[in-house]
Amino acid sequence: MPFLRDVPIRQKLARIVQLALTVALGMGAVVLLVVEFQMYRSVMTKEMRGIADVIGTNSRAALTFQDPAAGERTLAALGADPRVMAARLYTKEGHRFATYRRSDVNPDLMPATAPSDGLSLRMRSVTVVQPIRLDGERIGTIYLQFDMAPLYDFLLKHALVVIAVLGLASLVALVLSSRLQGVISGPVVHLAAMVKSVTEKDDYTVRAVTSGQDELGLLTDGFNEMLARIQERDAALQQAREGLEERVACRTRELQIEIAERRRAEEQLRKLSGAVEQATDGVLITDREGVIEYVNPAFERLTGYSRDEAIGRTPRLVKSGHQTREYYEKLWQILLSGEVFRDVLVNRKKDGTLYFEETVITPLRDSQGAITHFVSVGRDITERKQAEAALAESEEKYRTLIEVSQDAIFINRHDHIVYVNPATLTLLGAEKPEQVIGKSPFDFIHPRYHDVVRDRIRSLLDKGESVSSLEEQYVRLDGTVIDVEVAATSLTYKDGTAIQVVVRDITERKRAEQEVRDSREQLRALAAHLESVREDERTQISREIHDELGQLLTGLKIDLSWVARQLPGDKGALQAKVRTMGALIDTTIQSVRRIAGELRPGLLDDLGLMAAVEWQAQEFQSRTGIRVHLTAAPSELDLDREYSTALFRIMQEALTNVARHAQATVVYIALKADAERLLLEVIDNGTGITPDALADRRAFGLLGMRERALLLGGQVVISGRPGQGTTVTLVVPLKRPATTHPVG
Amino acid sequence: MMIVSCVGWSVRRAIAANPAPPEYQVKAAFLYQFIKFIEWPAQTFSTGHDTVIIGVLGEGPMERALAAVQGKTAKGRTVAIERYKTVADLDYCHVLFISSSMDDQLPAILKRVKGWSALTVGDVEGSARRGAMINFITVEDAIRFEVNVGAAKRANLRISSELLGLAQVVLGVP
Repeated sequence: MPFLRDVPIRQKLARIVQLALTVALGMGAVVLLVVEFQMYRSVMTKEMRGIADVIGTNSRAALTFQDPAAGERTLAALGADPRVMAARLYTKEGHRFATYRRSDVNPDLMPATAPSDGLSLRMRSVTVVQPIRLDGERIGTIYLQFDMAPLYDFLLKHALVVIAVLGLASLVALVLSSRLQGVISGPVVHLAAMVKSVTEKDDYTVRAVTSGQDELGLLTDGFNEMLARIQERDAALQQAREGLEERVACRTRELQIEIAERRRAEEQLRKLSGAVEQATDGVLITDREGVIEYVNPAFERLTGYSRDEAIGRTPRLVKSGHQTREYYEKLWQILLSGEVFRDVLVNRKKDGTLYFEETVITPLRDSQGAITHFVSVGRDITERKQAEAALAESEEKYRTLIEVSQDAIFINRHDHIVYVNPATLTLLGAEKPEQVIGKSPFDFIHPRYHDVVRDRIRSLLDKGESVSSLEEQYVRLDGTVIDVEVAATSLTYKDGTAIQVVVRDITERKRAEQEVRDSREQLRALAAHLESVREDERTQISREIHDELGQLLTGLKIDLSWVARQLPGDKGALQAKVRTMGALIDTTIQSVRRIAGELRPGLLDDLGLMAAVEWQAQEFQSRTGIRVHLTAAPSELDLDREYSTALFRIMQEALTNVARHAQATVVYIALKADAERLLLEVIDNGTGITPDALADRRAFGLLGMRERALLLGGQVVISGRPGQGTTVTLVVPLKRPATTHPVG
Repeated sequence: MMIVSCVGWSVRRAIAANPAPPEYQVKAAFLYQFIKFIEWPAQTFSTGHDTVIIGVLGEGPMERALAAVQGKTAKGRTVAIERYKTVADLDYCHVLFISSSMDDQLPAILKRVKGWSALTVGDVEGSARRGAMINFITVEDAIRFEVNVGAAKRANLRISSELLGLAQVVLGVP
């Protein structure tokens, strides 16, 4: 209430009372008028409905029998009430039927067709629309409009009366309040004068006069008390000022001591700082939020960032992105819990290169134990890391190679298997590595090879080299024996020496080899059998030719001799003819003997190998004209038929070759024997056999010689030198090997 | 004007259903509406019988026009129409319309219905004066009616003042 602020308290009280009264009365008057307006209108509405009912009922016949004139007559009765401005009847269909209006009312204001039922209140008028019913059926509508002007006249009169009463009441209030306000304002004015005197004279000893026990009395008492307190406080203040000077002197002395201590601390700090500056590890100090406050020269060298670039930033400066967000969250968690953080981080230098840093971060605490800073000490260990990585990579490659190897590979360390690859499990018939690892390799090596393998291991460990592969036998977990080829290398395994063993299963190969061997053996036996059959047949044919044909021819010759004896002497031509025939028979006998001998020298069976050889040499020489020198060391040999046949045939074949190919003039045949072996050599002085001819698979003669020698467990060596002849050497053991089993 | 237009509308509807002259359609409607403004003595309607009978005596267009009223309700009762050719055919009814062709037999008719409390309505000007309770007249092209209050009172019928307010009241023969 600004208009009251600077007014003296006497007037203030008077005006407040007057204002409050006026407002209260004014509000009461307004409420009264509003209520009166509402009541009036409600009464009027009720009255209007009654009138509308009566008029409606009286108009029913007029509406029913369509007599508007009668309707207007009924409505005309409304003229008795000056408040009715207008009335109208409408038919059931809503058409205008009959109308009444006050003379001053414009008829166009009434609706032309029946409006909807109900009451409508406007400022100037109130309108009622009601149905007219007959026998429960709606036969029309009545419309009534009432004037509100009389109400407003009435209200205006009331308002004037209220304003007059209000003015009078306000005047009375002003007079009464002017008289009564002194009760309150008197003591207040007295207090105000007192305050003014205290302020002006600075005299706290004066006291105000108490007027009573009401709030003003309390105020006066409070004022007096306040004066007393101020007096006391004034005295205490003076005392305190004197004590303060003494405390200042005392504090100054303490400060001097503190300054001396701080100097010593600073000296120590300078030394520590020097140490950090000289350190070879990168040192970095951040505040609690991670903002860099210090880096040492080693840090500058390590990261490439200068001190000015680093300070004010955070260690994210060297962040490489190789550590996850979670990693850094964990790091901070450790640090903020006050623990020391140690790890190897991948960081990025200013030039972008990455490096491994072995980092130790330590939280620093103040004297209260609160963390204030973090110190990070870092060392570049990139080279070490790279070496480790390279090693790991090569190890990985090696491992991969081994894992996929078809050969079984295991590592033997101090006679314990410490590693196996999957192929090893397959080889040994194991399902899991545990069945093999930890066992001795000798558990799987056939006992027959234990000594050999021990020797090999020893030499491997002594010399530190790999040993060539060896065929051994292993025993699988299920007890079956397999042929294997084993190679071994020494290597360094987990800081010690171990042996890497590569084992290849060659059971299949062995079996194939054996099969080839067996089939060759069978073929050889078959050939021998065929040869023996052929030899038998030859012998038989030879005998038959020799015995049968020979005897027949001999008989024929005897008969011819007898014929010649019987011939008379004068028959000279006949006699000559008989002699020719005799000579022819002799030649035939010779031929038969030769053929039989060639088929199978009867000497061989009858007189033995030596005699046969001698005969053959003689026969060869006489037939071919090539001179034969025969040297036979043992005069007699007791050989079974097979032996002597084979030897004889080999010699015969060699001589055939000499006659066919060698163009030789001399052949040396040597036959030597001791208790164990027999040696046959056929040497000529011919052109010499060529290596091509020797390798010719179709040279069945040479093949036959070799096969025959093999059947006896011996060997034929044929060698030739161009222009210097050919040498065929046959060596056979005289005791036949047991492995040879002829087929049949 | 209003009445003419109303009648015109009624004609159209009447032609569609039952072509009676417009004048008689209005008269038929009036016959029906009279029921609502007349009070019969209580014994006239037998208990439990909820029909009010309009009888038509003699031939004429009214017979057809009343078809529109048949089956309507008045005072909670269903309107039924009865037709009588001759006076001898007359039977008990609540409203009796006397066609103009039968006007000459009015005294016989009134004698016949005496004691029935039937509202007798004539169609010839002046029949009220001659003893019928109501008769139709035409005033300025509108159909109106005359009422013989005495005749009604003698038959113990009470005619509502509203109806009387519209009618030309005549005093007929005693």
